[in-house]
Order: sequence, then C-alpha cells, then structure tokens
Amino acid sequence: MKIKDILIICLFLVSSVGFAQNSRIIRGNVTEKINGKTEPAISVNVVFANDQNRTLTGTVTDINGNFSLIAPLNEGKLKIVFSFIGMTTQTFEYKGQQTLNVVMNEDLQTLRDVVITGKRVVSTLGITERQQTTSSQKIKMDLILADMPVVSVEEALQGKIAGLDILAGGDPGSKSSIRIRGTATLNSSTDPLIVINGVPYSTTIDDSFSFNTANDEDFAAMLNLNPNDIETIEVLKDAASTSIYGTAGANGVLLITTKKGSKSKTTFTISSKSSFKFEPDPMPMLTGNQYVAFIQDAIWNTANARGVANSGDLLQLLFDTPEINYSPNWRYFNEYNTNTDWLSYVKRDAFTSDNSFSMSGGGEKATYRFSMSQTNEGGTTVGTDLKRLTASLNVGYLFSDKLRVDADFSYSGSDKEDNWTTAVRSEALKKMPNKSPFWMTTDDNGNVVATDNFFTRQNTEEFQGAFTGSANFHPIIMANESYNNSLQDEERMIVHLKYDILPGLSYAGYVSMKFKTVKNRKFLPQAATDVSVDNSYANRSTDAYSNNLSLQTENQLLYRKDWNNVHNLVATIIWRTDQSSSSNYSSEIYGAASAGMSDPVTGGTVYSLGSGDSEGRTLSGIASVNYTLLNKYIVSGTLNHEGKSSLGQSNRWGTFPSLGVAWHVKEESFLKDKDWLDEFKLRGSYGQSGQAPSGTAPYIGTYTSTGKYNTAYGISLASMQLDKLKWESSTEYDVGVDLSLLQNRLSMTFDYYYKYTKDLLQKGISVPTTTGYDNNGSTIAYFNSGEVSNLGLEYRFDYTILENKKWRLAASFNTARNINQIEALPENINQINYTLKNGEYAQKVVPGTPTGSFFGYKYLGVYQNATDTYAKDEEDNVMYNLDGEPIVTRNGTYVCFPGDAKYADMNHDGIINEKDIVYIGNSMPVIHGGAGLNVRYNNFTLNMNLHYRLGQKIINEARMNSESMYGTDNQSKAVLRRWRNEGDDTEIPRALWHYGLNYLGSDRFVEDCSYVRLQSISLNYKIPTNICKSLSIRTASVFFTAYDLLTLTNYTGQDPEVNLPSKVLSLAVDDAQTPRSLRLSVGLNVNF
Amino acid sequence: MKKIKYIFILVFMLSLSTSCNDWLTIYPQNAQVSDEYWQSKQDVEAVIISGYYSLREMAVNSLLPWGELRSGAIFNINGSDLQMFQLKPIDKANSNWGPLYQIINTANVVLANAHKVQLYDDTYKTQEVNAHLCEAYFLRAISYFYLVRNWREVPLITEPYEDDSNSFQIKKSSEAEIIALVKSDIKAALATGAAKEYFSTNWETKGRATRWAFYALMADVCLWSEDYDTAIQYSDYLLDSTSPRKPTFMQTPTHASWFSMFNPGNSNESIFELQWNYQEDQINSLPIYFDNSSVDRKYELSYQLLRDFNTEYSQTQAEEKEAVRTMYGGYYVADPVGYEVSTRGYVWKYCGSQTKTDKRTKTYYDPNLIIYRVTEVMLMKAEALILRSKGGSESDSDWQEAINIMNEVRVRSNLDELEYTNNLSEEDMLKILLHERRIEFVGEGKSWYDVLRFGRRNNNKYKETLLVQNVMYYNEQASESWLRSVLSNDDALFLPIWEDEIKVNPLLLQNPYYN
Repeated sequence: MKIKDILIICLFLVSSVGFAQNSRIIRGNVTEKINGKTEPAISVNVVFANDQNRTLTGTVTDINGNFSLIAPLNEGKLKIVFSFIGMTTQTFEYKGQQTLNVVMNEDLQTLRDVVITGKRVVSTLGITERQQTTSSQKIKMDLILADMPVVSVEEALQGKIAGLDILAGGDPGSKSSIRIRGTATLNSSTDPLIVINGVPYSTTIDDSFSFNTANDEDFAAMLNLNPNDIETIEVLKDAASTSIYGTAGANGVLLITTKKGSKSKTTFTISSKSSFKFEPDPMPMLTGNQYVAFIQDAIWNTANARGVANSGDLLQLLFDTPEINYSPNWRYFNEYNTNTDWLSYVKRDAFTSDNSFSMSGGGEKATYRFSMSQTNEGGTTVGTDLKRLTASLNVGYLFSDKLRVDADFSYSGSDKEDNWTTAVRSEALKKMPNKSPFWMTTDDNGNVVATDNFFTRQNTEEFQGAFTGSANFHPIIMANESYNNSLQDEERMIVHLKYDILPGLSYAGYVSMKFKTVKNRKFLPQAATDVSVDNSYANRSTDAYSNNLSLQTENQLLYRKDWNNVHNLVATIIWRTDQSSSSNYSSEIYGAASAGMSDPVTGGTVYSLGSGDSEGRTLSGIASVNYTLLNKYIVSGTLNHEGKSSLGQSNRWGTFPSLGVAWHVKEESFLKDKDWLDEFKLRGSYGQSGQAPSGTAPYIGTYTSTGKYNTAYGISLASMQLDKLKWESSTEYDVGVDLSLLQNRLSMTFDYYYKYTKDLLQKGISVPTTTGYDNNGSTIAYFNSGEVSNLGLEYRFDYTILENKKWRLAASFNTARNINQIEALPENINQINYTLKNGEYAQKVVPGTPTGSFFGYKYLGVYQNATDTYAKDEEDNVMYNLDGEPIVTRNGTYVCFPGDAKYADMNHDGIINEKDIVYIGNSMPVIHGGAGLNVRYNNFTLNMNLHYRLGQKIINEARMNSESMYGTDNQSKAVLRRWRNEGDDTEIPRALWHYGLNYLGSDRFVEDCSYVRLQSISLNYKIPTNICKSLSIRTASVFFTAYDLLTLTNYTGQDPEVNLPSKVLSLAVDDAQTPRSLRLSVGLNVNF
Repeated sequence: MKKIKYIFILVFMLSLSTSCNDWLTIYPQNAQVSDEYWQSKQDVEAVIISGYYSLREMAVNSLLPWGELRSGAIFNINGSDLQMFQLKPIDKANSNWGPLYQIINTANVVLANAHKVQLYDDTYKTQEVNAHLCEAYFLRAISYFYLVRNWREVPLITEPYEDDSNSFQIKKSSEAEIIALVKSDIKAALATGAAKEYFSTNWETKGRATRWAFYALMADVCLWSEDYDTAIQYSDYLLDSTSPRKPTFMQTPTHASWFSMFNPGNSNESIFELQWNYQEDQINSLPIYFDNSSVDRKYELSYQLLRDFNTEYSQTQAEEKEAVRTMYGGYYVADPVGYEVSTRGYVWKYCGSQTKTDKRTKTYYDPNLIIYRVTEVMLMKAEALILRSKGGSESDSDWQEAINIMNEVRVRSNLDELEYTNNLSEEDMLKILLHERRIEFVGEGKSWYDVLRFGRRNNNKYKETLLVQNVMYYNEQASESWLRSVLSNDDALFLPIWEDEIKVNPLLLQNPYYN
C-alpha cells in the first residue's frame, strides 16, 4: 500500500520534471567578434535572474559557444543575462523563448582608466559631500602613492591636512603622535579614531593593561595597513561630523577606505620601491684630549669652589685617576688614549625596500581584490629595523540588486627589531672619547691599533662607573647584540551585508573580528654591561606576550527620500556594539644561558613575572537626520546615546547631540549666474562628545586580601567605588566656508572652531588619608574636574593653476592655528613635586597656560665678575646684609662665583629656588601645516611637499646633557666656549665637577624648534602608452623621490621634529631620539 | 494585530535596555568587587581581622615610637625628630594619620554592612552580628584614642567611605567630641551584651577585642578625660569580675612568671595584645631594635632610666631576691655583673627568650606588643583614686588603696612596699605612680602618654613638674633650653598634620606650632 503510494508520487514527480524540461528549456549559441571574425564565445555566463537581479539558475557556454538552460518555475518575470569579463552584459526578457543566439561586444568602458570623482560619492551615512554640514577632507591615496614611497599612513598624511598635526619618529615602526585640533584632554587618549571601511579600528591600549617590563610603545599598534591598499583617507575633525562614530571619535576620525575589486578583467599591479636613508650630521663632540682637559678643569673648579683644604678627595681624583691622566705604565693606557667617535659605531645608513602586488577583478555577481605587500625598513641606529608583511582579500558578492555581501580578510605580521634600551645613541654620546671600544695592541711597526675584541671595562673602579640599569654600558655591543623584538600578528575578518528593504529604505550591517597577538622578546647580553654573572642584569631576558580580541557589530537602517528636489531627507538609525578583551603575560629572568633562552622554564633566575587581563565594552545607539530644502538649505542633527563599561551604572550612559546647518549661497538667485563661482557654502555646526576612562571597570570598588593576623585572614577595602565618575564631555562649535572658483580649479576651505572640554578625567587623584585608603597611597582611580579649551583656525586651498594636455600646474597650501588653554583645575590636583636639582623642570598644570607648558628659570648667562654676583633688589640696587656687606646671590645653597650660571631672581631674595620658576613656553606650535606643488609636463610629473610647524618649543635634553659639564659624560664641542676667566664673553658657564646648579631647568635649554621642511620632492615618469602596449602592460611609471631633503630651522638639536610624549602631562623632550634621515627612493609601478 | 506588534517591539526594547546594562557591567578578574562582598559572616570576620592587621602593621614603627620617644625614657640612637621635638609637616613617617583612619574606615564599613549580611547568610545570628559590631566599635574607639592623644583635634568620621558619596574633605573636631565618640562607642558595644569574654583560641582571646579590653580602654579614656569615677568603675568591672575567664594579675614573684607575659606572651594577665606568629611568617623588628648586639638596633634606655632600673635591681640584689621586672625582665645591660658602672641599658622584653639570659633566636622574632594588661588597669585605678580627690579622710582611704595597689605590683617584683603617710601631696602620689608606671611598662609605648596626661590634667596644673621637668630629666638627646622652650608651647605636645594631607583637604588647619 505504502510502497505503491510512494511509487506513484515518484512517478508523478519525474513526469512533472520531464514536462518542465520539455517546455521551459532554452538553448542557444553565443559568439563574439575578434578582429572582425565571428568566433564562438566560450565560458560566457548565462543566467536566469528575477526582477531583483537575483540569480536563479545559470550555466556557461561550452567550447562551441552553445548553452542550454532550464527556466525556473514560479518566479514571476524572468530575465536572461549574458555576461563575460571585458564584454558588455546583455539582458533579454524571457517570454518562453526556446532558442536565443547572442553576439557579445567588447566593453570599452571598463577597459579605460577608472576615474573616480570624489564630489558626489555617497558616504556610509547616505549623504553626499554636498549635503554635509561639517568639514572633512579627503585624500586620495593613489595620488600620493603614485610617486611617493610612503611606508605608513601617518607619513602619507603629514602636512596634507589643515588641523592635523603629525609628528613621526625616526625609528622604523615607532609610533607617531597624531593630534587633530589640539589637545582637549589631560589623561585620556589623544589619538584620533581610525575607521576602516566603516569599522572602527582601535589602536589604543587601555590602562588596566599591565605591561610589567615592556613599555607600552612596544605594544602600541601602529596602523598595520599597507598604504597601497588604501583608496582614500578622509579626516573628520569637528564633533558634529565625528558624532556618528560615537565618543571614540572625540579626538577626530581618520576614515580609511580600502580598495575593492571592480567589475573588469583581472588586473595586476606591481610596485616596487627602494629607499636609502642618510642621517643628518650629529652634534660634534669633544675629542679625547679635549675631554680630558675639560674633566680636569671641572674638578679643579669644584675643588676651588669648595676650598682646596676640603677637597682632598677631588685632588686625589684628579691626580690618581689613570683614565684622565697620562700614565703610560698603566695596563689600560692604550685603551684610554685613543680618540673614539662612539656614535659612528652605532649609526648607519639604511636601506628600505617595499614591494607590493595586487590583483583585482570581478564579474557580474562577484568582485574581488587580493593584495600582498612586503616592507623591509632599515633603521639608522644599528639593531633597529622593521619587517612587515600584509595580505588582504576583499570579496564582494551581489546576491541580487537588493542584497550585497562583502567579506574582508586581512592579515598583517610585523617584526620590529629594536635594541634592549632606546638609550644607545645617548650612551654613545656620553662615552668618554679617549676610551677605546676595542682592546688595543701594538702592530709590527710599533703603532697602536685596535683589535677585534670589545673592550668592556664598566665597573665601579672605571672612571665612568658601572652599569646602572640604564646607563654605562658598551653602546656598540648593545646595538649589535642586545635586542627588543616585537612580533605582531593581526588578523581581521569583516562581513558587511547590505539589503534594500523598500525603495529608499535599506539595511546595512557588519560583524568585525580582530585578533591581535604581540610577542615581545628582549635580551640584554652580559657583555654589554660587564656586570658580574650573578647580577640581576646579567643576560637579562624578557618574554612577553599579549593578545587582544575585539568584536564589533553594527546594524544600520537608512532611509532616503527626495521629493522633487524640493525636500530631501536622509535618516539613519545605528546600533553598534564593541567588545574588546586583552590578556597579557610576561616573564623576566636573568642569568639566561643564551639569547634565545628567554623563556623562564629554560633556567636562569626569575626576576619578575606579570600577567593581566582587561576588557571593555561599548554600546551606542545613534540617530541621525539630514534634511535639505531646495538643494540649498541643509539641516542635520545626530544624537548619540552611548554606554561604556568603564563607568558605573548611574553615569554609564551619555547622550551627545550634534547639529549642523549649511547654506549653498551659490544656489541663490543673486549668485546663480556668476560663472566664476562654482560653489559657495557656509557651514555651522555644534556637537558634543565625550571620553570615558579606560580600563576594566575603574569605577568599581574592590576588596583585597591584606595579610594574615596570626592565623586569621584579613580582607580590606582596596579601592573606592566611584559612583560619581562620569564622562569627560566636550562641546565644539565650528563655522566654515567652502569656496570653489574658476571652474573648480581653485577651491578653498576655511574653518573656525572652539572646543571646550569639561569634567576632565583626572587620573590617580590624591584624596585625604582620612578616607581610609592609606594602603594605596590615598588615591582614587579617576576624578572629574578641570576644564580645557581649544580655539583654532584652519585654512586650505587647492589651486590648479594650469591644466591642458601637456601641462598641469597645481598648488595646495594649508595652515592651522590652535590655541590651547587650561581653563580650570581642582585645588587638589597632583602637582608633581619639584626639587631644586640640575636638569629638572617643574612639571605643572596651571590654568591660563596651555597643556605641555614648560616651567623653569630664566637664564641670564654667566656671572662675569664678583660684583655681578651681588643680589639686587627690585630697583636693581645691590642688597647688603646687616654687616653692610653685599649679599652674594646663591643658586640654591651654592654661593655663586664668577663663571656660574646666572638666573633671574624673580622675587629678589638673593636665592635662586623654586620660587623663581616662571612659564617659559610650550610644545604646541603656533601654526602648522603644509604646502604642495604638482607640475606635470607630458609624461613627467614633479611633486613637492612642504611641512611646517612654527612657534613650538622643546627641551633640548640632548644639548643639556652635552653642555652640563657636571659629571663624566662626554660633552659637545660647544663647551670649548665655556667660561674660564673673567672677560670670557660666553653664555656657557664654567665646568664644575658634581657641584653647583649650573644647569637648572631653565630657558637655556628650551629651544624654539620651528621648522619648515621639504618633506618630499618627487619626479615621476609615466612610460608612454605605445611602449607599454608593446610590452603588453597597461601602464607603468618610474619615480625618484627625495625625503627630508632640506629643513629650515634654528633648532640646534639634530632634528626639530621631536615626537610628543604619549601622556599629555609629560614634557616634550628631545633626548637624542633617532633623527629623521634624508631618504632617497627609486621605484616602479606597473599595471597589467 | 498591529498593536500586538508594537507591544512586542516595546517589550523587546525594554529588555534590550536592561540587558544592555548587564552587558556593560564587567567585573575585574583579579579583585573582589564591593557589590558582591558582604555575603557571609566570614566576609565580616575577614574585614574585622584586617582592622587588627592594620593596627599591628603600624605598631612597631608608629605606635611604639609615638608612645615612647617624646618622654625620653628610651631614645633612638640614630636620632629622631620625634624625640627632639623637631618634627616637620613633611615628615610623613611620623605625621601621617592615614593608617589609623584606615582602621576607622574598616570599622565603619563593618558597622554599616554587618547587618546586611544576615539577608544572605542564615547561619549568621544576631548575637554574632553584635559580636562583630563590638569589635568594630573597639577598633574605631582605640584608633580615635590614638589620634586624639597624638593630634588632639582630628576629623571625626563615622561613615564609611565605600563610595564617593561622602565628602572627602572633613574639618577637625574638638578633643571633647572625639573623646565623646570613643566613650559612646565603648558603651554602645557593651550595651549589646555581645562583647565576648573569650574566643575559641587563646591568641584570639588576647589578640581581639574582648569585654575586658573594652573595660581597660574605657578606664584609660576616662583618665585622659579626667572622669575618675568612671575610670574606677570600669577598672572594677574587670578587677572585681567573678568570671573565670577574666584576665588575672599574675602575682607570683618570680622572673619566669612575670616574663611569660612577653615570652611566650598571651599570658593570663594580658588583656589585649597585637599578635605576631613566626609559624605564619609574621615576625617583627622589635627584637632587633632593642638588641644591644644588633647592628640595626635602634632603642636604648636613657641614662637616667637606666639608673632608676639599677636602683631597683640593686634592691633585689641586696635582699638576695630574684630580679623580676628589672634585670632580664624590663631591662638589661651587656654585663650584668658590672651593671652599676654600665652606661648603656636596653629593654629586654622583646629580645629575651624563655630562658632567662638568652635572647630570642631569629626564628622567634615574633614578640607581641601588649596594649593593655591587668597591671595597667590596676595602676589606672590607683591613678583615678589619687585624683578623684574627695578630700579629707575619704581621700586618705583612696590614697591608701592606691598605695596598696602599687604595693601589689611592687611585691610581685620583690621590691620594698611603700608606706602611706598622710603628709604626701597629690603631686607626690602622682610622682610615685609615674615612677611605677615608667619602670613597669618600659618599652610598651606608654610613657609619653603618661607624662602628657599627668601634665595636662586640671589645666596644666602639673605641667612643669610632671611633664616638662620629667622630659628634661630623661631626654638627654635634646638640650634643656630647647626642650623647655618647646614644651612651654601646648601645641608642640602634639604632632603636625602631614602637609600632603592639608594639600588635599583645605579644611584642615595645621597645628599652629608647625605653621
């Protein structure tokens, strides 16, 4: 019975299939014309699609160009689509045809160079640039990369955008400091948010992450993205424009769009670049003999100042120290009678190669792009370099006209090599020049020559002393044998989905996953320090590991509607989640058997172990509306409601509104017919944003185990619950003008902004010990107080002066001025204590001054004679003591003698101490910006970029250390001008051996480091098309670029571009970091 | 149908918003979160223990020097601004009251939360809650008592700082207000009837707050506030108690019996002492600080006190009696045979072992610090008897009783009894008592508070004779003229407030002497 039924059903089914096959089958032949001849078109896609273009069924043509296909049932209107890469797609309505023969035609459109016009590109928010009420600026990477071998995104952006201040480091892979529109926070991150293809990419590491031994710079991610994969970078600066990215964008947003595959034949691009780096000349240092003379002078001066009777120890030092005396019988005589330029051994000219490859293409339904790049950047300090490998794959698939899915996979791996300490250069500068790095020997001719063996005498008996943990090591061994390697792997997977629900209403969403692991290994060879084998620095080896997983999702509904060009509405709702967790582990051992044995289980003595976990989550709901009336009046508003896990329940959610208006004045009747004016747009915006503290729930109160009282366990309160902790909030106003003139050849943008931040997050604030938290130093993690403002102007123009078939001449210029000021601070802020000490600057945060201000003494030169040293009152009269003798000024407790440093006695008390400290400048530039020039003649293009930063100051610590004349450090040639006798006209005081206060933190070492730099100059030659054709390639170009060729500055240090400290409250100091080098590059770009 | 859809959406949104908050609540993995604490009686117990722990941690380097150095009875051989009366507000080690406020906060936290625990822990009976509250009251009271004796006026904080809802800046309260709180805390604790007479282990009975510790503390506080009848009343609560668990005066006049208070410690006589235990790796520096042969030694007896000790020691020697609280009891010299010519004496209490002349070995460097013992309660009663001055014959009988009490203490040490004669003045009586206390409690952190209390009472009536002259006599580290000029200023008798504390709490006014 049952079997019978089943058989019947089966038969029925078979027959119905058979019936369908018979009646709905379509057959045909496809041909194409090649050089005038008709040939069968092979492998052409033939598909049935419904009215939404969703593919229902399909096939490809066979070797004779034939196909047969069954039309699907019950799908309403059907189309038959013929497509092939490089051919025009042809679509036919299906009306039950049985046969269909088609001739394919070459698609001329897709084979032409793709020209992207930026003006009308629709952003993720569905708004055209025209509809924006805020300022943003877009950079097309292709234009930059066409003739500049940039290694990083930061490098590409430097000097290009008004209000974007980038300072890049000289070492490969070192983190750049990026600030958009000044510093609006004191304790939070100042880095802008990077958004890649709409997905925020966080590079910051939260506070609760304990690094133990590694410094955070080792772990801080630079953006591991191949610049060649980037299509555009857009910079969003004001709060109203960044609001849809939530509070993470409070410091500005860099929107990066990567290249995607497009419907075309597969194209390949290969580019290869090679650069050579040449370092600028270093500071000239004393020679061996000059050094010895200076040391002897210094010791003598101190002995005299102290009184020779009390200076037996100094005299002994002077006469019984063989290192600084001529004592031929001493066993190390030869090793201490040379003339060594230590720096020359640890610096080098370096080579960088950068190769990348990409292929992209796609058909009717799917597009793809695959790229790989390999960079190998050498550092100019021996032992530093960076290797990076990136790979990315982007696949887009169009399920139908309504549904599109994009998947991005990317991998980057980098290996940054560094020295165990970053002080290799400064140590090389300090080393006594009469000491040899190598053992010396006498050759057959009786000449003293160096051997191959390192001379490592660093012990307490040596003149410069034993290894201290940071100084007194052998810089050459340190550079060559120590290491600090960071291996960073990052994988990202993003799936985007876009679905058009109804006309005008669409849904978009993504899920993004990012995994990052960093492995850090450090090794300090015992030979570099010459410490005893049981010392904790002997073969110190560190092994650290961290991993991070972040998971982000976004769901977005977008509604767009236009009513006859009168009303235009774009509304968006976004729901975004962000979750990031990290864990790390590190171990440090000493007495390791060898450099490779950094794992603690391999032996050696454990010096420290550490581990940590942290997690952060963010939720935000964003609603945004943009309304345009008559295509000229625009109002837009955004509301961001955001919650962060680092704040307590009651203050966790913040609401940040923003509002913008724009007026296209050009559209008004009185300007409409003015031909010279293409665009005239007035903009104004208001927006709020915020910053939350970082770390895993820093607000939370905790209990911790104290210790045992006899046999009982004690647990006590460890941290206070911070229920009042809330968002640091900022409000920004922006007004701007966009002008476009002369057939869009001249465009200008002007912006004025004012940003006010209140409830600043103060970190580690001291509270009275009466609160009962004495065990953690009576501090609380965060406290909201203080206000800071930023006010600024930005201007930019781009002018295409001339453009015709042969010639193109274009120039651009941008400038920005930012005025930063601390407006208010709580009374109980931690003012870092200052002690009167040589080389120390008071670190203060004072209302009325900008962040990053320097406080110190006013330096007035050198006391020329005894009368000069007398203390003066306000009327500049000499002050006398009760006995009628003139009072001699004292530097702290030291009585001043002729030749000593003279500081301004601000309070006229005859004593130079902390009461005489004044504001002496700050590290913020007065103006900064860049300029560019582009000249094209036929196939030649010349590109020039200038970057300037004017009016900022820096503590030239490298100079301070080399002019201090205080200890055993070698000094620069400048000290040859030191004061020796009355009448010496010099600003450099006398040498004093461990005595006096001749190099207090004063404006003597705070230097203006303004500069104008020819950042790059590049010549590009595009190989003519006919040559390309004969080589069967599409385009090819070669270029030659020089970087940092010329720098105009009065700064006396090696490089005026000094990286800012990552903590806002730290002082900007030039401590002889690796300077930026002159680089020369040649390269080749090929497309085929 | 449409309505149902909207309701559904609404419910969904609501659930979303509540679950959002949950999703955003992340607890750190390496710490116990406050919100999840206070679930069981063990939680309460552990916090109370941390109060004792904190008190113990400050015993060696704060409680002891505060209580001793300024009187000059013992001195720091390395010099000390404290004993020289040259403290400055930057001296954190001596002028930071933070550790005491940490104990106060611990106590306040227990007082605020112990009751809540009953909601979660069924086995936590009200009697146990009250017993815990008692200990919290004790910790708070004793901390404030230390504060008031060292700073005189301090901020009075009775609410816990678990979160940031209470103001951090509190101004100072008067001495009377602090004392009133201390007394009310003790009374509140005793009123619960839950103050224990003993704990399950002996070390806890001596190392945690018992009923007896409250009585001793109350008597001490009442003496400070010149409330002598109450002092006698609370002394008698202890001394006259019929409880078999009460601490008792160990009257056997032998060295072994007397020294058992210090080694092994936790003796019958002890009321409250801070506990160390070498088996738990809890050792302290007291044996090192008082050891004449240690390179890190710190404290010596002042030469005058050494002579006082020698006098008592020769008395027992002359009568061929065993020295009890003198040689190898309270003090020792390197060569006991030639003690009379010795110029250096040391406190033996902490470095002595259980055998008479041997020192503790390093393993056993865990002597406890006694805060109260029965002898002191007896002498407190004697002090109150001397000072309540009823006048006439009643006064005579009080003073006779005071002499009797002192004799009990002296007899135990094989010393001559004192005879009461009615030509003794109050000042004479106090001098006798002061001497007794100085010898008996040497090195126990009492001597400065004794001279301060004696000198300040009755509006500085005896300040010159009992405070200034005493300090000048014993303290040979500072010059007499300096001491006289400093001590003439009543503000100089108290510590400065650490300057960083004033920076973060502008409501605090520095002790005017240190301005």
